[in-house]
Amino acid sequence: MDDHDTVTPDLERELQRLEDVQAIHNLVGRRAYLHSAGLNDRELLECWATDAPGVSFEAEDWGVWDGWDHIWNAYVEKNPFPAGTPGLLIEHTLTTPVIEVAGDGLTAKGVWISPGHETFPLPDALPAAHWSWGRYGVDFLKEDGDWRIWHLHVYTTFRTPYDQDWVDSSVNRPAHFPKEGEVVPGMPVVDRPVTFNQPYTLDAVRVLQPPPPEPYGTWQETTGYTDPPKEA
Amino acid sequence: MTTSTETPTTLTRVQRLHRIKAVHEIHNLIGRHAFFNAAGHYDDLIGAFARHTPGVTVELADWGVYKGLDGARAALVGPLLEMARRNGEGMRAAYPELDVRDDRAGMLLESAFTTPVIQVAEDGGSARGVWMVMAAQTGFNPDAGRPEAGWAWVHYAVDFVHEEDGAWRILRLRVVPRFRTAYGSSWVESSLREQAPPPLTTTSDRPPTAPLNDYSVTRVPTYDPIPPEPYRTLDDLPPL
Repeated sequence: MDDHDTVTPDLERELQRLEDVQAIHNLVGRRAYLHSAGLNDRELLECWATDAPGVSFEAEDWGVWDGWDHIWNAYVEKNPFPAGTPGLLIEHTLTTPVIEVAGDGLTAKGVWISPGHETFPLPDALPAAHWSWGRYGVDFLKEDGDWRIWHLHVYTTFRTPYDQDWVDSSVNRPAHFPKEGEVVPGMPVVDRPVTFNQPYTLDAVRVLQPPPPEPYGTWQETTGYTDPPKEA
Repeated sequence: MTTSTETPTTLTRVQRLHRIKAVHEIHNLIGRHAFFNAAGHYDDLIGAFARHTPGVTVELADWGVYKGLDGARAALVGPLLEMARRNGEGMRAAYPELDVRDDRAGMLLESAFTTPVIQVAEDGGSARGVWMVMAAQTGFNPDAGRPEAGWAWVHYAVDFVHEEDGAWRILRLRVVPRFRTAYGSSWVESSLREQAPPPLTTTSDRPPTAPLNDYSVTRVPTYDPIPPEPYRTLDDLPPL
């Protein structure tokens, strides 16, 4: 059945937006499974924009890597826990989505709450199991007809050893954690400092970060999730 | 406006709308599965499986592949009933002052489905989805002499079919464990202990399609299940 005669431009636009939202769900989901498998190389090749200017990745209290090559260097080449690392286990789930596709259909924005866990091998000890909760703020764009990640910001809620609650670990930082703001040894320095991160601390008052996206028409009307926030 | 390659350009708008609606109905189907499982509505669990399409299979962990609706019942309901039987037996012995009439007293199996990747076939007749599932579980532990709270994280991989009566149903279900651990110890510690035997009461029709690959200090992360890519028809799908 063809239905071209009965469809208005508005209906076509709404249909397209629904398809776009589902494609974005699948994109961030696929990224999560690749990341869990330690396949950061495939994640970057298959899920991120490769040609667009301004690609950026802000990771918790480390700061921002700008440009696909810098992200590849940090996240793939210098990844301290590459695919094939025995005892490694990472799962960052995706829940609580808020997704807005721009009126012009060229960009989109989304946020997620991500309960998860991480297990990292340690020298001369058993791997260390952690609960790791965070949030994602992600900007997307269409590249050759496919939605791709443009800016990805991972915000810490808490990361705490399995047998230590996040209040306690915020006061008594585990010895095997890097110092706050320091990347894992061997990883390259960031291009820009942290724009925003707020792990649990005794004196922190929670703020609206990342802000759930509101409807918008074009990218010029909004800001990216790796730009310094206007309100924090 | 460009069209994502997730949506083939040959589809009419009615077909495109059918595929979007399918995703919503699949979310509801798998969500109901989670609620029925938590509430012990076993007949409803089996009612979600295909009635008019041959090839129903269920594979949980390394328990093997169970075929058909009877197999689905044996794989899903059988272990739940056996878990409940063991739970009730333990509860009645440990708490004689309680009036434990239902074997499920004190049990908890609550699974939250997250991280969906869902692809509906280009022909609209089938779909595949994967989920990361985090579960809070409780059952009587004879070693502890009390119900034991724990965490279980698994991945679900599911093939769905759109049946002739218009309903989406489960054709193939595979559950891939990540870890199961008592509340008081991490999955690293639990992986070093001997695991309790599975609550199986029947044997599978086929051996498992993959070895158990839950957490171990010596195992490497796996890309399993693989999130589905766009595909044309059910016959084009790779193994689940």
